[in-house]
Amino acid sequence: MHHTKAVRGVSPVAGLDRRNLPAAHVWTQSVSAVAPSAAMATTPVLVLGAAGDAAVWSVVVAAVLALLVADCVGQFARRMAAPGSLYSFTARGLGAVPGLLCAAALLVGYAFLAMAALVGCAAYGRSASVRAGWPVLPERLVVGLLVTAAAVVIAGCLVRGVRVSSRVALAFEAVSIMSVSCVLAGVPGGGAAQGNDGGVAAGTALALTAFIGFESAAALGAETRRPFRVVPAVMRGTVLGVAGLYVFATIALTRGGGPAWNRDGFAAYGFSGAWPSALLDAGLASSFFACALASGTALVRLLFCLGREAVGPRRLGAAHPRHRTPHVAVLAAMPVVAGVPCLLLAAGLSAWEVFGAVTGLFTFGHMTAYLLVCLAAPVFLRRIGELTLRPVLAAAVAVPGLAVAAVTYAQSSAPGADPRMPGIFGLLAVAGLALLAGPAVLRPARVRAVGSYDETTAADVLGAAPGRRLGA
Amino acid sequence: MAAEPSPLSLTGRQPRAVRAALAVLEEVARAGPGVTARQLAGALGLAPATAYRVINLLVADEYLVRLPDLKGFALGRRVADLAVAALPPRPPLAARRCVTRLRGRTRWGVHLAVFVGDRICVVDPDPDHPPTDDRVLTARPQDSALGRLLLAERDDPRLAAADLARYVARGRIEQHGGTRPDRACLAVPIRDPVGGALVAGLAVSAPPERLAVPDPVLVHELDMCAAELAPLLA
Repeated sequence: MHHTKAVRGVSPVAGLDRRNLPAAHVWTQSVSAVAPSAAMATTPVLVLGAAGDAAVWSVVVAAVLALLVADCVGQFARRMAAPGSLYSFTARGLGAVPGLLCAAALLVGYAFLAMAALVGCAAYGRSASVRAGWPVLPERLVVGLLVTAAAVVIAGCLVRGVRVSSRVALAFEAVSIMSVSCVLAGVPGGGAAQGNDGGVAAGTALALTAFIGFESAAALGAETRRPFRVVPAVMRGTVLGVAGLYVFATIALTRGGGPAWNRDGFAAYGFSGAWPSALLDAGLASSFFACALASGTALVRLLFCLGREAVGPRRLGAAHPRHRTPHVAVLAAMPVVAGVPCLLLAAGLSAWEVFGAVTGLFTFGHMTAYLLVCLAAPVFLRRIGELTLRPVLAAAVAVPGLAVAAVTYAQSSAPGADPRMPGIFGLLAVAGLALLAGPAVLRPARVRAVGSYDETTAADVLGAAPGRRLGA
Repeated sequence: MAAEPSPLSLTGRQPRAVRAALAVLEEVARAGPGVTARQLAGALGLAPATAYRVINLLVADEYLVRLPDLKGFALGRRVADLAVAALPPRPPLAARRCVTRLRGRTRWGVHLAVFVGDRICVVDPDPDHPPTDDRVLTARPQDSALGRLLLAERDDPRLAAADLARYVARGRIEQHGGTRPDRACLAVPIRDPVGGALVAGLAVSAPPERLAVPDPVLVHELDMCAAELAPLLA
């Protein structure tokens, strides 16, 4: 009557600290990856510039779109715990090749999100020190050194384990949200909204970028205690919570007429007084640091998953015997994450230009991954015989919405929204897909391994022995 | 100010949801592992959307687990934990006599434990040498020889590779001073004669100097007793 696969004795992702992470740390992961304080300080200004009076509505529409994506990802997260997160989900719904395309997009997404966060951290850190009256040193040199130093600290946290890195991140983010909120609450009222009235669509595309990262809780699924309950709740709650912060920030800025965006100084607000500005910059630097830590956490688990499946180099699938973290993936990823921004700085780009370039790439990476996973959700549910109307409606609205948002973003004036950017992202994604799919195509066994997740093991099932086929 | 409703208070249609959840558990137990969500909805006469929601809630709380095809369900370990808490497994009389015979031949403590999921249940503790509490053994399996049997079976990294290699070579596992500084422990696995799954462990507990070089006669007695117990406990 029932036909099922054999239950394994050991999970395909064994070696990670399985089902042991408390929910608080998973919340920290998603919130840090979104970096709400940094997004509060930067995105509403851009949205206001693009959408004018419609800025608040743009933020609301973007929040609805992000909620729909969270709903689609949640359909998977309620059923599978996968360190490969959106990649494994897409592979389970749409098959190996779309799955590997999602992996390539997500690698770009998390790697460049980590780079943007490192550069943001370094640039705001330098800005804070200058405002506090420290000597002014050459920007590119200081930013490069700070990026490298932050990357070393983050690599250490990632190898030491999620628990440590979550606590560090939580403290940083709380301080940062409070300082930005204080500043926003003090924006004087009475100004008229400035900026082009590009409509809700233009604003929505920009506002959506501020939600990127909420899905990263899914990467901790295998390590989370009660993941099927915690991970979907964290993703949904993060979107709702940061949506509230963004609406508050946008209303505060609209009321004040929107301060000028200062490109060179990385400073969103033209405040007088060195110390408040220095504190704000320090808060933003810490928010970006937490974001780099969180996106690094998701990135190394994706690499770990690809290594375990032998789609990527097998060594990436190694887990540290004591800390139970993907330490080889950390050592492979962090030099690249720190190296690319340093190379761009060395090539003569300013910190702001580097930030813009990597921001554009992680935005396209995440939008592509979101689009694929939303397409995959109803297909997956149909395959396992649990399709209902709600996920079909969610995907039917989210997929075209994301496509429009991606196109609108490419044409917008946001930092990183360069007309060349979709082309560069396309090249990276195709190269990534070729690298990942090439070896897999040669070995069909590897194609079958694509989309592995933390399967139910014999120990989880009442009365099952490893290898025994359950059911008739 | 009105009192906040307790998160566990039942309102509106929730009693029906609770009944539906219990009915789903019963139906999975009756139909056996591998039953799908659609089959469960059909068998219980629930609307599919309701059934899927109830099933996913039970999966979220680990009373049910999804099998590796993601379609089929089985009862999860938390159901086993309920049963074990209410009624700890009791070995048959033949098995207890077998353990008592071994106790008569050695001066040291002899304990029989069965493994239920990740739980270690000492089902026949030595009355003269009380063993460490089950909850402590389960929480820190790396500290006891019985727990190490379980870790070795799972290839768990809490067991050092050298200890695992020694276990594979000799068929027995040791621990010195993990649970009590004045005690060492030696355990052998008891396996299902069909399929070879680990079902129980038989342990001897003694002062560390006595087990530093285990007496070959004792080891032989232990192996014989384990072999005798296997068909009784599997």
